[in-house]
Amino acid sequence: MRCGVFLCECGGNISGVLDLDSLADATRGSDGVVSISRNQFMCGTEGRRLIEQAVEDRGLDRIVIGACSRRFQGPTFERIARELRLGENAVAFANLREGCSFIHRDEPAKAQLKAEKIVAAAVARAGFQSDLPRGRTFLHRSALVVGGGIAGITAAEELAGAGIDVHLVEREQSLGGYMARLSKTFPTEDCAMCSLAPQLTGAALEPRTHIHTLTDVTEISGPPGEFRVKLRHRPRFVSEACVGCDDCTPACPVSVSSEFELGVAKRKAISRPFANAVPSLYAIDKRGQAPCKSACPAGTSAQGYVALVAERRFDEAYRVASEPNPFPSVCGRICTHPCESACARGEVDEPIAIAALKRFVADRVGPETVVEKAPLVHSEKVAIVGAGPAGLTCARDLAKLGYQTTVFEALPVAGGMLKTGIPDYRLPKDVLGREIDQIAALGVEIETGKRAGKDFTIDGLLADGYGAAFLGVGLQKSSEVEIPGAELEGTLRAVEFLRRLNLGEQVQVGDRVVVIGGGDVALDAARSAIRLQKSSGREPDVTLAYRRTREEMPALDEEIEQAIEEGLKVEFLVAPLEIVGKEGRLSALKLQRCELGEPDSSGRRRPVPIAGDFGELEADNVVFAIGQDIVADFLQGCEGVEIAGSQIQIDPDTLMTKKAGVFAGGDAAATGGWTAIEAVAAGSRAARSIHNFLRDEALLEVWPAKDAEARPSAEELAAAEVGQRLAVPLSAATERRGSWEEVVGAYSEEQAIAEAARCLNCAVCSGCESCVRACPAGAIELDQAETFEELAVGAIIVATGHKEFDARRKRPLGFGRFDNVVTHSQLARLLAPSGPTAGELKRPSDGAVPKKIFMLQCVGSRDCSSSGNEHCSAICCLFATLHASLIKQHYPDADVTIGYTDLRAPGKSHEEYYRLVQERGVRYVRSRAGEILEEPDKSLLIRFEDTVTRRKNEELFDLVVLAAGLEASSGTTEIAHVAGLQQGSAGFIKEYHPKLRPVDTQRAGIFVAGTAQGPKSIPDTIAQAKAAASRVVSMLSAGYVLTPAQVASSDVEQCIGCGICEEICPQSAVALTAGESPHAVVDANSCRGCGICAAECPSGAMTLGGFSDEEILAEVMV
Amino acid sequence: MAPTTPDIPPVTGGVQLFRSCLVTTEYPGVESASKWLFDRFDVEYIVNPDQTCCTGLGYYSDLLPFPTTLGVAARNACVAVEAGHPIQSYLCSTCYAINKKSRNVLEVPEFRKQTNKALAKIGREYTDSVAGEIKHMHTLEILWSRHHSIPKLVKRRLDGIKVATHPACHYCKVFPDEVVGDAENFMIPEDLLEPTGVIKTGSYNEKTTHCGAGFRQRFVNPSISVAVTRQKLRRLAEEKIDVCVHMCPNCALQFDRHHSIIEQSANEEYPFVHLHTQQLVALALGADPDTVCGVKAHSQDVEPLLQRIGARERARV
Repeated sequence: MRCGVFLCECGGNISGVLDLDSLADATRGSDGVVSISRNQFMCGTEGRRLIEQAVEDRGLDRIVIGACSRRFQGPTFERIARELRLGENAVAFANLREGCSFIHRDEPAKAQLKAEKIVAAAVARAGFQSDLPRGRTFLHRSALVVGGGIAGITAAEELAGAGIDVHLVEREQSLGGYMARLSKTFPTEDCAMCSLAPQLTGAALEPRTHIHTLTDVTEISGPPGEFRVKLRHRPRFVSEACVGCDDCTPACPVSVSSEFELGVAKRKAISRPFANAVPSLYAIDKRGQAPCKSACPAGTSAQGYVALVAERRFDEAYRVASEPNPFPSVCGRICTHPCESACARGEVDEPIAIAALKRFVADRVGPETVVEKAPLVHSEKVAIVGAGPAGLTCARDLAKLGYQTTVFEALPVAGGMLKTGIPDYRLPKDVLGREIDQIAALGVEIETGKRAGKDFTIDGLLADGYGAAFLGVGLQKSSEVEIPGAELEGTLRAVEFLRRLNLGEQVQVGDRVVVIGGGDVALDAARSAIRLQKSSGREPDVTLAYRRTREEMPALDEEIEQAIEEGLKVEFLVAPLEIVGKEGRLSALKLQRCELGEPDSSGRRRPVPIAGDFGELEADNVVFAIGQDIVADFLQGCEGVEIAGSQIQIDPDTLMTKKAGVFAGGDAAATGGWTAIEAVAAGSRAARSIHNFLRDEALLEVWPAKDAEARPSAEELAAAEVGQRLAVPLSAATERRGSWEEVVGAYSEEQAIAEAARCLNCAVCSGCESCVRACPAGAIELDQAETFEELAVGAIIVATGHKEFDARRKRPLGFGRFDNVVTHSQLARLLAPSGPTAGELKRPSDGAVPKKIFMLQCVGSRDCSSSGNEHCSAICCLFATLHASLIKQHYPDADVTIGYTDLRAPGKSHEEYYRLVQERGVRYVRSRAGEILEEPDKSLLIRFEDTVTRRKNEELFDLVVLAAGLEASSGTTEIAHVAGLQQGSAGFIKEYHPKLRPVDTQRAGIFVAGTAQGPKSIPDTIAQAKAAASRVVSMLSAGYVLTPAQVASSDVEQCIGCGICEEICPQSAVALTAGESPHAVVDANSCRGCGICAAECPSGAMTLGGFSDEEILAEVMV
Repeated sequence: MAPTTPDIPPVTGGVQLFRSCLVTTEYPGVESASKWLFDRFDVEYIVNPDQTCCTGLGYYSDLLPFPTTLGVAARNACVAVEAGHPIQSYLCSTCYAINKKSRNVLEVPEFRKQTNKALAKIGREYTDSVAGEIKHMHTLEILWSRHHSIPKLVKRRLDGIKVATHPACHYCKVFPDEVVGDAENFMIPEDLLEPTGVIKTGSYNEKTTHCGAGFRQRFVNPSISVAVTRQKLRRLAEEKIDVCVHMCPNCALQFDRHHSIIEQSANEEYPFVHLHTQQLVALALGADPDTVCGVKAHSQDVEPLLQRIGARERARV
């Protein structure tokens, strides 16, 4: 080795601490050292000349640079070595600056000793450094720009101008980013949109720029120059046919807080953020399926009709409520409303009264609705057996699909259990009758008094030309009672008891009635018995005996409460043992007392008898409401249909029985609970399945695919104002005991609107399809789904921007709690001519013009507490100054105070602007208020100390504006994860080198621009975006890139294929080969030479170029 | 309002209940209620006769030099570790803060050396091992670590009782990063009480304003001290609360002893009472108001509250 050592003074940075002559003396004797030089700036022209001279004169083959870090000046000296044909790995570095003079400034003697060691070590390793091979990657002449704010748009414009194809990806529905929200910009006070709009239009018109909105980057792989990028396009639900006429937004009933307006105004579920948006298409915010819709077996969009009720659009609400369910008035009364149990509002206060709202709208619109006969489209006829909710729904849906349907009902009346099981005080017969009449009006024939198996047979119907049949026969008898005495006179069965009552038969009960059971049927029987006793002039004496406790009772809570109010006595934890008789008639019921044991298959705790603990209830009647069974006489003449356990056996996917063409649903073939809404849902499914069967094609989904459930986040729930569900009127218990009049009343119009307004709009778009009807261009496509795309690009610019610090984290400042505490971004919207107040400053609490305004600086910035950020957000002083200036110009009498920590106004014309605004009368007070207090009149009390005059102030203000700082946006964090980029404080993307490579990231070929890199003003953002674009242009213009020299490589022979390297590589540069004996392969283009893989490799197969064992050992053994 | 305080790992034992001079002399019920709750929450603890005063009152009143405090803190840590109960459970925020502050200062070699020189005279040393073992927790933190056991222990519901927290400055503001929950909206007291059915206040105007005691300020600048207390009482009254729950005897003392006096002199009404969190939780769990919660030591009349929550009926424990 012939080694030259070149010591740099670094303009005194090094020579001010180290004695370089003495260092040269100490080095002179080292093996292989043939030349030593020093210079003030070795990286400059003179230094280069020294090296060239020494190589020529002394025949050097190795160069040791004693200067700063290799990271900082490595490329400079490697280039010199390459040009002198020594190979760039002929250079070794001894870091005398960061390693010695900077950190040991106070101990020069020790620094000197360390420097001698470091130089000796570099000389020793240089002898083992060999030339490293480098490859070339050819480049795609296209780029990806992530983020469609001013940085992304500017970068895209520059790239397109240089002839490079650009994919501009934006996660929101339109370009514009944060700048589109601003009113004016400092220091010129010109309109933000005036600068931005031409840029937006330019981007839209530039043929080389491909705009992808509502798009996320999900994966970036491959080496720089040929990145492979996966994009996920979220559905817009509005097609390119949209002409931007805005007919849809008045039609949409759902209003939510507008993200674009930063919460100071609302938007509809279908919206466009601002007039000049690019693209100009509207978009629908559809977050899945609301919990209420998910929970409804029939898939009713409760959110949809609730939103329409809130908007007083009752006709449309009725359409949404009745489309999936022909019994909205009925279900508004007797449904078990699983929608309410699922309602997210229940987590805030109480669920929305969905059923009551359905009843309100169905009672109001239903009777006026004229139903016309559905046109017959198909020749096949369908027979429906059983006119209950399942059969009638099936018949209705088939009629709407164009089939002739006939419903055969054994009883003299239609309605099934709705008619014969539910007493009038819960469901008046005229309500049910009206909804059945509307089904018949569609052309459905209903033949009552026709019993299957007796008056006709299913096989006979099929032979007579019916193409299919649906069995909705229900469970028409009570389960067998198997206790001694069950046959005694006075024992009753609930189903039969209620049927006789509801068919108008004269039914009597004795003075003391015991009802056994805990479900809705038991409650109906008990409450009916109370009415029978009272209406015959007796004081009611009805006891409900239930084996478990109130908690396990399946009956609806409101039913139980109403029954108890009416005088029902309840005995919990008792099971019937025996009916005691006297002269053939029952006289008492003997009971076994129980306690709760382990849960059974239903999840409810099992009643366990307590040995020897019995009780007795004297009774004249005992009503058993302990279950229902199927009456199977329809099987006569119905070959092939099977029953097991009281259920017709069906294929749950198609609802078809074992007999082709015969379908079943409802209580007799349940796929869910035995409830009316389950029966309605089953009828609907069966209709679709029958249609598919008759058309011999899967035209309709029997079980429509459900979207993911959309629930508000915990944060959204916490932000919802706690209120109260509006109670529906209920007649007095004393009155209703003797009456069959309906017990539960209906909402008034105003009550219904108020109750509906409580809805949280979980899914935002409710799927009510009002926009579909309003759109003249037919542009609404609610069935759009996510799509994916893969691109190949040469380079990437990350311009994902920032987000405003969430000022709620500084709780004492009251943001989010006090109406009149806003942030500067919100104030920008309130001051913007295009904003919700058309530029008029109105304070949020009452719309009055605020007279006294306090602007509190450094909220979440320059804050060392755990809830804040240490950095200065750079723009806030001028942002506040701008807003103060605008207010003073529009409202000269307004008193504006800016409470600042330090006034920071660097940048061109900024200090001058600050002075100008002071002259306009804005008061600047150096202070830092810690807490804002709200007074009862919504004004805000602030105590602050002027730290210049040391005067303490306590003043009331009308409006407080917080200068919430800047943090990395969530998009920035996501792209950092996807692209493997390092994030610094507050999540901003770390640049490769803060001074020399400020727009390069740690990953080659990926650059950063704008506030994704750190807080900055618009001019700085634009400058940086152009710099990033310039870096991309220079990279892609070369046509190829050299792979780096110091990269990892794996020895195939030694590699054991453990995969540790693949897992830990921060650049995703290592991958295992496929096949039986995998081994690691390094993508030299992607590798950044960090060496983690080499250090972790258990077999020693992985090495890092320039860090061989010999080189390292030589270095450390000095 | 769902709890906002994050769960922390359960503390089940190794606790030295750090006795507080203010608690012992002014509100002994706080100590007995804490012990009563530890028993019900299955927290194993000792009261160590070797433990002595934290010196916080003297130090914060500028009466004692810090090296004295440091020596006492180091000794108290040694005796806790020696007793095998290294988790010091503080009833008082002054004890909490002064011991944590001492912990930090004892990491500075020259202060540790100086302190150990004094400790050597009594045959003790604050070693790395002691420093590693000793833990400093407010009693409320330990109770919070076991809060999941509360719902099934509730014997007296507090439905309809509105409570607000007065956060202790020396817990929330001296080591804000070590607070369990939000140092600017401390919620453990209300979150502990949530299963009892109380109405929580959460954040309120001037929640973080101090009690006014200010150690020596109470004595040397009584008008300023009481003015601050009055301001806080007015804010609490605006929230229409029934009970202000405390976590520091210094605050409780300032409020409870001055409450009626300020009402009279200001001609204002503040219709609520002050209790330590442990006292109110214990009452809800069925503790005796006198023998466990020591309510007779209070200046304010808490009897109407006790009547309202049924605490004067025979306890069903």
